[in-house]
Amino acid sequence: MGFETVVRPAVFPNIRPAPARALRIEDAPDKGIAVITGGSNSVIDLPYSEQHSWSRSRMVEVKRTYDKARIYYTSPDGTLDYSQYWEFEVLRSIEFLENGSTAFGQQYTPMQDLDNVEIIDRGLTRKAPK
Amino acid sequence: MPAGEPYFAWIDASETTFGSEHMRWDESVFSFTCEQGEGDPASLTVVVRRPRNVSGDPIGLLGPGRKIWCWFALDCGGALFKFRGRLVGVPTSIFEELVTLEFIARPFDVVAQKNALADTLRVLPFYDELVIDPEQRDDPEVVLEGYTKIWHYDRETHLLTVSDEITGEDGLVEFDGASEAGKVLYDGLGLTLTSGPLSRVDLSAEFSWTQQAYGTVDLTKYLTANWPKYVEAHTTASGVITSFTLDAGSWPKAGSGLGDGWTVGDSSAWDLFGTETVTTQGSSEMIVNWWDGATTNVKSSYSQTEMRMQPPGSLMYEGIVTDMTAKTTYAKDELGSYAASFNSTYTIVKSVLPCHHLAVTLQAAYTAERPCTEVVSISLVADVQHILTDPEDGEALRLDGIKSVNLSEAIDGTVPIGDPRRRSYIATERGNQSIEHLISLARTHLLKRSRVVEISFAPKLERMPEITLRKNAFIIEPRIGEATGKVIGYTLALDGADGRINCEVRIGCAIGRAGSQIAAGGEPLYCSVDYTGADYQQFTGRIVLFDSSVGYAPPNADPDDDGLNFMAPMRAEDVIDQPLVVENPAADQYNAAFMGSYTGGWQGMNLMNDFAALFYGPNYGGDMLAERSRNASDVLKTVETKATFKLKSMTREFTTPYDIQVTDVKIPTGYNLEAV
Repeated sequence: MGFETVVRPAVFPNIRPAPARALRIEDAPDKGIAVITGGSNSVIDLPYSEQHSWSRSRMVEVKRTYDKARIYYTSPDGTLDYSQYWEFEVLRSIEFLENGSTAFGQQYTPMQDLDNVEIIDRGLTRKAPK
Repeated sequence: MPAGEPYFAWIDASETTFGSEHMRWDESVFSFTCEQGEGDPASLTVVVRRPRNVSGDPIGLLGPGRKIWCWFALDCGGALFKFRGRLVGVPTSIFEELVTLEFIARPFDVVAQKNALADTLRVLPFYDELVIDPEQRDDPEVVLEGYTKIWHYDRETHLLTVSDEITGEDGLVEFDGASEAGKVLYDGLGLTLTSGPLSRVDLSAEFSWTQQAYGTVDLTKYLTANWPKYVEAHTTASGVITSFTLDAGSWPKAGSGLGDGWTVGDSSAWDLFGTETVTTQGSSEMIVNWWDGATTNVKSSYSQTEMRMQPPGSLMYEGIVTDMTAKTTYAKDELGSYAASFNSTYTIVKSVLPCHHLAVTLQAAYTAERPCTEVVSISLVADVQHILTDPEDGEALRLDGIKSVNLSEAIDGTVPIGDPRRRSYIATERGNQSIEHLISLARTHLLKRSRVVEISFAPKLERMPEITLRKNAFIIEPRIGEATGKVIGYTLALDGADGRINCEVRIGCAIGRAGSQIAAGGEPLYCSVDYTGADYQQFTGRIVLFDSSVGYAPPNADPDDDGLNFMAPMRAEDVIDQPLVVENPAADQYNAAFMGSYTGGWQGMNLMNDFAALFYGPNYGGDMLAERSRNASDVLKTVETKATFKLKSMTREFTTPYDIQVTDVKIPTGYNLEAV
């Protein structure tokens, strides 16, 4: 082992550029991380709906107009027997009550006179019993 | 004229050439001493009789108008030893009979001359402005740092030059010991060792620059290729990323930060499917008119909402019936009560948690400002004779604190490193010149300190006019043998007391072992030298000569950095420091939201807390729907997709050591101590 002398001469001590800034510590692993995140989401509701309905009205007879007719008996040989007959009420029209309002129902053609049919009265009316 | 006759003439400053008219005796010289040491101007000290006028009165030497320049000459018997100088200082012993005058051969324009000369010396590799403080670059004293030279003032012309400290420029003055003129006087011979030679110089220098670059790197493929794939059934398209939370709006925007020195240069994100819904509606109505005039009105309608395009992999929730009613309304008339109307509604709500399929692009822009330093170490060993018994005891010098300016900043319009994107300076051609400058610094110290032997001798007077400090002297003298050295000083003096003229010459002799170094071509790493030349590629084992005394191996660039090469196109793989990590990718989010990984629920609801309570609630369907939506949002908050990666820092500092291999420094043999 020698006894080497190391000297530090002051050779032009001030001619060097200013020292560089102090070195930073090594790059920190947790520094400079790029993060992509954020955003949101929500449930999208997809409704399906259907509706069904019906409604109806009901007619209530309150008054009828009718003709009265008599139909005679016709014997098998085609002769009429005026002693035997049936009487009928032939409807001419009906007056209804629909949701509290008067409404007219069907109108019918009056019955025609025939040999065996005798119209004995027309335009008779009768109200529905309460 | 007889030898030994001194002449003294007061002159004007303009009389720069000696002529016969100056061979006069303006003063009666009693004694004189003219001497010059290395690096200094010659000086003359003359003792003269006190000057008097014709009437015998003393003349004021410092009176105005008196000349202050002189030509002094001494007849050496064949040639004149001449000196031109300027009176300096106040004459001493001014009231005595003998007055001492001091002159110096220093030019008036020494500053201008030195500056002009320094300008010619500011050349590589001896002077490297890169390691000189800009404020000091105009200092002429600084330029000699890399030279083995010293200022020389001519004692007659006052011309300022530099002279090598080992080998004089103006030739050799020989004292062969054989011829009459080549002999030196017996008395006056001396040999001293000034100090031990410097055996080694350890030098460390820092070369710093700011690695500057800017540009972009396309990260799109890297990000999309490394983004976790969703379940195979929902294989995403190439270049598409998936997430249940990350949406197009949250993709990084241009200008946002991406890391140290990184920003988003350009980006785009487009949700391939979107969340748009469409609703279709329909209705029908039928009216039945009965025979009696009564009517029945039947109506139906529906409304259905669907996504326009349902993203693959979306989480589908089963339908929840939120409304299901059926009601019959009864009316009453004269006939009694009857069913007058019927109404039914039915609503079922399916839900979708859409998976975002994003077609993205991302260009990362960097602006590099990376402080780089190369620490160059050189250990230069002198091939000198040892004056100590153990060569290891030789002195070593350590030169620290050598630092460069910022090499990426222009000096007079030139950027030292050339391209600031470089990873290495020292391996460039300019960097090699800096290495050579460092070698010149170390070499200078070694050579100067190798001049260990100083020999003084007394030549004959007739030889003195030959002596200048720009010459070498060779002497053979039986007591010391042979020696060659640089003239480092001389003295020529007359002692008025005895009339004897004393001559002395001092020389400094290097104690190297002589020889020269040889260059080596080395082995090229790329191709034969014939193909590209020696300056194109890197070599191993190559030795380039600084001069014949020393050579070095130019280092190959081996930067201890992160590998980024800004001078070549950069790919994403080049700039990734920490790879992409995606927390909670779409598959995990799917499981969390649907399979109850986090909630233990069913259909997105917590069974224990939500379902049971709501099932029996008054608004069971709606509440369950709301709860399912809220629960999904809550779960997603806990499993938000988060992608992280790290790009290589653009501000990080790097330091690379370079240990330059050098040869020994061959030093001339001025005196062979080993032969003594």
